[in-house]
Amino acid sequence: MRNEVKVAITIFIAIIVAVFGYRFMSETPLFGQTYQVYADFDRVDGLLSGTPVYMQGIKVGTIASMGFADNDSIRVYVNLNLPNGLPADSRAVIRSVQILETAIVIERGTSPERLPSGSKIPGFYDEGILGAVTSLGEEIGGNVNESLDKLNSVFSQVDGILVDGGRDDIQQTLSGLNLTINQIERTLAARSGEIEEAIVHLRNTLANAENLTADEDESIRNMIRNLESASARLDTLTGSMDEMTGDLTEVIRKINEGEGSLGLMINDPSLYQNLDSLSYNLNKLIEDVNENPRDFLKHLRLFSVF
Amino acid sequence: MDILHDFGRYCKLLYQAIRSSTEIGTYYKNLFAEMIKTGYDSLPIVMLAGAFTGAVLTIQTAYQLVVSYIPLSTIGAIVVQSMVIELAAVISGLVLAGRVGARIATELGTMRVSEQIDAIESMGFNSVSFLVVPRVLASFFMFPVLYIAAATCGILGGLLAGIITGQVPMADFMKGGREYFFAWDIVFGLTKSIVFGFVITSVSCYKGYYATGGAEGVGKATTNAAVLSCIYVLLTDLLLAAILL
Repeated sequence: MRNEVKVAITIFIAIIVAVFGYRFMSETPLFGQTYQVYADFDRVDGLLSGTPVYMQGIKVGTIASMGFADNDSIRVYVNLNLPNGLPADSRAVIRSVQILETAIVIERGTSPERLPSGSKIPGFYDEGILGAVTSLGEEIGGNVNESLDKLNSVFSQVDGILVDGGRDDIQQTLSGLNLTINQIERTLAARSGEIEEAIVHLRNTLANAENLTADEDESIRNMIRNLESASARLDTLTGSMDEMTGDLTEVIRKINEGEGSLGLMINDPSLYQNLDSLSYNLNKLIEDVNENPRDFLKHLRLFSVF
Repeated sequence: MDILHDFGRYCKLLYQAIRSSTEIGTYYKNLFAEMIKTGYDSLPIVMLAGAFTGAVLTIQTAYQLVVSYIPLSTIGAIVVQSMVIELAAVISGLVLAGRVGARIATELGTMRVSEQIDAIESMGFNSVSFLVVPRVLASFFMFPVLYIAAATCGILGGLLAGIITGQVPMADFMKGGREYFFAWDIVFGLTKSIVFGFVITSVSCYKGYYATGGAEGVGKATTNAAVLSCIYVLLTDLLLAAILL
């Protein structure tokens, strides 16, 4: 084989490998024309050439290229593996498809009309969960900054206190406390004998009290039994008194109502009047007897009396 | 001073090559012969180097990415992008610096010390057009071919290594690879391969064309050509990355 033929075949094969390799890696059809559409977006955060394009959850293509459009928006060209093309009312949305992965999602329309290759579809940017998380993060970041500012202020105040003589005060307090502790230690060391003695006495006293309680245990029990018995008798007595009170109440009620002799006697004024009259007559009789004893004694004989 | 002298002679040689690049009739036959030697014959070694680089890259990346929250597709993304942007061009460049650079420097150096170049000149041929232009021009055509072969084999090798070792399933590898596969990366890789081809062949031609001192001089020129080609490949790699990325 001639050198020219060898070279030609080598270069030809290299070109074929390069072209097919590029189309294979770019996920464009190896043969035939690519179905390409484009959309304009205000922003394309996280997108690169080659980023997957999804439709109804499956990957249908990749981003071919991106660049600025005439109206300062970002124009994104998308290669799609859709043999039947896209419905005319389809649209492209940039949104998070996983936690950290942003992609273009094609929302398929319902129109029976199909878009030819090279058409424009409307593009939207959807912040989604990532946007919400970002805004939350910004909010939290603000709060954290605020807290840090406050903490900083507190620290500077503490620092100020320490610098403005506060350190001396704290040192004095600590040295005073130290002194007090030393004094307490010394006192405890000096009086340890007495303290131990007091503890021994207290222990003895407690033991005595315990013994006393044990010795007089029966007496105390008897006393308690007597008290219980007295208490029971008191209960009975209280019951009797209650009954008596009831009876008395009944009697007084009857007296008040004028029932019975006593009631009549108290309530009937005629008895009083009779008694009053009787008293008056008796007075009168006694006066008569005093004034005229003969009238009453003339019929009396001494012997009859004695 | 020697550096400036060398640089001046190098620029002069390049100028002569560019000026004589219009003499297609002179170098036509040599061009295809060089394309075979530079490109076609180098394909196996470049493909092997690419495939093993991709395979090792996959296994080592999988070994390093032990954190559970990093998806396996990241390995595919790293391997594909590394091969396309950097490794396919640089690995093939370094391999070819040894293989092609050394061959060119030896061929031209031997012709120089055995006075064949002087004979060509004495016959009225333009030796630069006859010897240098086809070699440099062949690299323009064949280095991109070798880059494509290295990148393709590297990606396939990485994919195969991931599947065989069970560390990266094919779906994850391809998902990551496709996600970070950009047209500009290929343009960048192809540009690098063309620049590396030019650097390797031009430096080797210069070292061989101006070789002196008999067999020893040829050996020295060959060593210098291979070493300098490697160094300039790495330097231009850095420059291109700084300028183009």
